Amino acid sequence: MNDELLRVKGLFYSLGEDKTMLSNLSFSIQEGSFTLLCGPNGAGKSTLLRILKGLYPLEAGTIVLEGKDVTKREKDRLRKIGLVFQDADSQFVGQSVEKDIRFGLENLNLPLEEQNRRIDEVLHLLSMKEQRHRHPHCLSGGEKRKLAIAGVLAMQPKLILLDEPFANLDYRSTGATLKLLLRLQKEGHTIILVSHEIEKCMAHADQVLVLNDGLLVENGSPETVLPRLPEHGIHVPHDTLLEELTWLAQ
Amino acid sequence: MARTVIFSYRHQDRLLNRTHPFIKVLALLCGCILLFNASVFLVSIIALFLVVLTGIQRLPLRSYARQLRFFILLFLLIALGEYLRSHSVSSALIVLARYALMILYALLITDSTSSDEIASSIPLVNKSVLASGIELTLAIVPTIFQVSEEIRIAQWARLRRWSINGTFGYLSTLFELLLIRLEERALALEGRLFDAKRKRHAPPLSLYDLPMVLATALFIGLRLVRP
Repeated sequence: MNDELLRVKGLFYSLGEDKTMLSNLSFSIQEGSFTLLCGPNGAGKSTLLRILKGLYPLEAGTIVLEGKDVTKREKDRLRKIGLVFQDADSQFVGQSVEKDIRFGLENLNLPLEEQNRRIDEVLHLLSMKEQRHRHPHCLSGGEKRKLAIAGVLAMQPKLILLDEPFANLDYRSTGATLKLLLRLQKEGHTIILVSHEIEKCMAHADQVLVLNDGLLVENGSPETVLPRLPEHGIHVPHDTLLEELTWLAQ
Repeated sequence: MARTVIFSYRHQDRLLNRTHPFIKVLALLCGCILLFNASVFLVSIIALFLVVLTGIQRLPLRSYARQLRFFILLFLLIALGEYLRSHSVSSALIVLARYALMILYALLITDSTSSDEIASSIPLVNKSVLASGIELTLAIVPTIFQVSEEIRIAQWARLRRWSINGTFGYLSTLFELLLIRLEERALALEGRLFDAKRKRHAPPLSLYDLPMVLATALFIGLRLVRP
């Protein structure tokens, strides 16, 4: 960790003239880091992820990935940045776990042997071998989330964006998903995670970004940002130490 | 954990799953065409064949029960229409059986064949963008039933009573939710670098295709011999 992977400068996005969604956002992300992006509902977190991924057009600003300006190169962003959607169901295309993971690999035009190797690898990594032939819609909430991550992970992106990965998950599944993300980070993946439930994972973040009304109001280490969170409408349990902000068993 | 959605694929190691997808599609088309004006005898033979296949395939008809209610209503309307036209109960029952068997045929094929397998197996089409169109269209069918089930349960939980206004409300919610889901799906496809022109590999023909081919040939033969 230390090399800069992503730099965003002066990013602006609006829905027509009278509805500014994101205004003048600038920040950078280090390679191999775990970044928590939080903020109240409607702050623009999901929109920001979709812009970074290249799904929504950028109105102003620049995006630099691995030192290369990719602002106008949406295809590069689509290839190098993986996005796990908030609603995992909408992401599934294949009609079995294996087919769904294979879908992205086929689009990358990888040879069949390489596709099989990557599928085996992610199924092993995510402990999903037993679900290999199940239909995605018949999986439990936690398994669906894992499959959504597997589909993205198999495409080996430089940066993984996750939109509310803990939504609708119980304590055990949240812990398992968090553990998985931390393992991926250890293996060198760079992660930006959107969540407004900071108590579940803030202790593990290297960097915290806070969005409020489309503005980046905080950008720093968890230690510096934590005391200022209530000012931005983010609830922090009273007398909580930073180390306690995790849903992993202590 | 969700219940199995009607017209969705299940991975199994059974005869129909091993049969070539294109053979199954052809058999379905031939079967439906034959059933349109099949005699009682032919309807019975096809029914017997499909019942045996349903057993082999272990089709989860119980899970489908609620989702099949739409078709049951449709069958009843068709049978009623036929009865009013012909004033014959047996004629209405035959028409009802024909349509029910067509749906059963389709259930068996979709249960054993994923949309990408169908798209990859149709000669000539699998080399064009049309294959992706077929794949995505077929993949949307279970989504429609899933969304309508979600709305039905949500409205039922809020004690909805049947009314014409309520039915229109149900339909407009269904379309709205489907559009939202499809928009999300479109973004997900883009996000996963969906390439409509990607290479597809058709599976080879095998001996497992023989029962379906022979059965379809038998039905055609019977139709020609005993019209």
